[in-house]
Amino acid sequence: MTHIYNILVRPIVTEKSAYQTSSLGQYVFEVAVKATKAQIREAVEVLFDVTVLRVNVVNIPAKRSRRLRNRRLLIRKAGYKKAVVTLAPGNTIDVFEGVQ
Amino acid sequence: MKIDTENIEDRQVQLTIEVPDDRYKAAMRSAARRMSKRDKIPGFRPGKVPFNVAVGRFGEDAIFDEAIDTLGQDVYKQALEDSELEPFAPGALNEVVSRTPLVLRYVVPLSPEVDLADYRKLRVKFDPPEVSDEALDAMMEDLRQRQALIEPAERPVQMSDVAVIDIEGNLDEPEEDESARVIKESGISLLIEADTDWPYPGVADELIGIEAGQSRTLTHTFREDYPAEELRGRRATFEVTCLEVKSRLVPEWSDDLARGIGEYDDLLDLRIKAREGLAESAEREAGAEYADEVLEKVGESATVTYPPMLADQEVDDLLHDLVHQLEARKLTLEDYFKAENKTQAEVRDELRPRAEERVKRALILGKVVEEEQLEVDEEEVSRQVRRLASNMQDPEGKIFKALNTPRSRRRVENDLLFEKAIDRLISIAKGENPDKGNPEPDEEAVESDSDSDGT
Repeated sequence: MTHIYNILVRPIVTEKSAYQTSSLGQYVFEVAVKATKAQIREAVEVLFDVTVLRVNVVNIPAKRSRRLRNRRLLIRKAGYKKAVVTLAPGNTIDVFEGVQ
Repeated sequence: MKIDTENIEDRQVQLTIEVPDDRYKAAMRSAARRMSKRDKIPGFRPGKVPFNVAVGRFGEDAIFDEAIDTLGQDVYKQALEDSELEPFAPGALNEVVSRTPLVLRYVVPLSPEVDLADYRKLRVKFDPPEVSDEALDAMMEDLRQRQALIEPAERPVQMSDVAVIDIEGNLDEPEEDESARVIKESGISLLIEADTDWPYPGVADELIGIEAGQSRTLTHTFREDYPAEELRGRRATFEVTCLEVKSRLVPEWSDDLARGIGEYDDLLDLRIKAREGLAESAEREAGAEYADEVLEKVGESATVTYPPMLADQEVDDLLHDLVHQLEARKLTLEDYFKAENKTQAEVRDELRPRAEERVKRALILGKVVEEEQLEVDEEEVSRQVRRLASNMQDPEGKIFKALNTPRSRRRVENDLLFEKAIDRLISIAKGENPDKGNPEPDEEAVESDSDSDGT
């Protein structure tokens, strides 16, 4: 059931991604773990009506740690797939821009 | 920066300022940075949040408020310099007219304006007070009664005796959850006179003839105009036990008695001195009343305009005084509001007319001081400070030190100036037509004042 609406999970807004967006024309999303580059390109192009030049994908590994107090308790943070989408110059995605 | 000034009523100026766009933007940006330093946004180091993200996060209004806090002050300061206004007190941001372009409106209070009109032509009739013979007689009688000789007597109580009694009074039909007891006292002295009204009027007649050791049971229905409301119209029974009877011998007037009372040569001397004392206090009272009347007349013809802020401050002061008064009774302001069943706003509204009156008076007196070129020099202040301190039975001690600080010296100076202004107004109203400035006779008056204090 891979559908374009199931590909993109959320935009990632951090200091790094803000820099990428403003200077490099790149937008960063968390995407479905099963998503491929082609699917991500299609999803972004259709949903935001932009031209995608390049898609880079990275798998962020799951992280785990133990509580300081209780050494047994294991905290697991799920891993996810991150996609850095480069748009053609002049294209923007509003979700990232916030209120102008 | 475009500045419009407009005079509005009550000595206030309305400043309408249009802030240039780039300044507004810069202020917004720095405000956003400040806010992001305060409240962390996940994914960003504090203070490193891009403006658009901050706007999305905090909302534009919040950032705007923050920006106005600082920008508003800067703009206000600059606007004051540019418009060459001399504010009497800090102005306040009244409203934000529009955001694009940013237009702010300030209300700036100016110094109050007092027009005394023709106060120098004011005349008020002064009625010198007179001491009536009745008043003197009453006072003499009072004095005589106080000289009464009280001695234990072995006989039933007569009129104008003193009875030492135990008394206990209970209501006949107390209501539920109400204590039946009206009074319970033991060993108190009761003067048996026709007008004795404790515990109730007419008690003297009922006690006549009681002897030491005897008891009597009295019933009394309180009259409808009895001071204590809850007792009106109720019936009570009083157990009275007489412990002792004392006769009271009121001496007749004689020269010896007069000499015994104080340093008087004879009865006539006493009468004269008493009359003088009465006249003096009557004069003081009349003088104060007269001053009040004169001030009121001046106030009627004068036009005083002042920013409403002044009255607000005065209301604050009054409220502050009230808090102090309440503190003496171990109450807080909240208790007071609850007891009076009022809100703070209502109490403030009530205080307002009084505050306005006080502000007006102070302004008028200030103007009189200015117009009449009245002055108080350092020496006078020192003298007054010493006098105040010695009045409180603490010569050169703590109170003196507290009074001798520069701040309270200034207050004393102000008080003295106001006093002089009042004196001046009085002499004007009496038609004495004094000269402006600090006249010599005034000095003399001060001298003789301090002389009489020294003795």
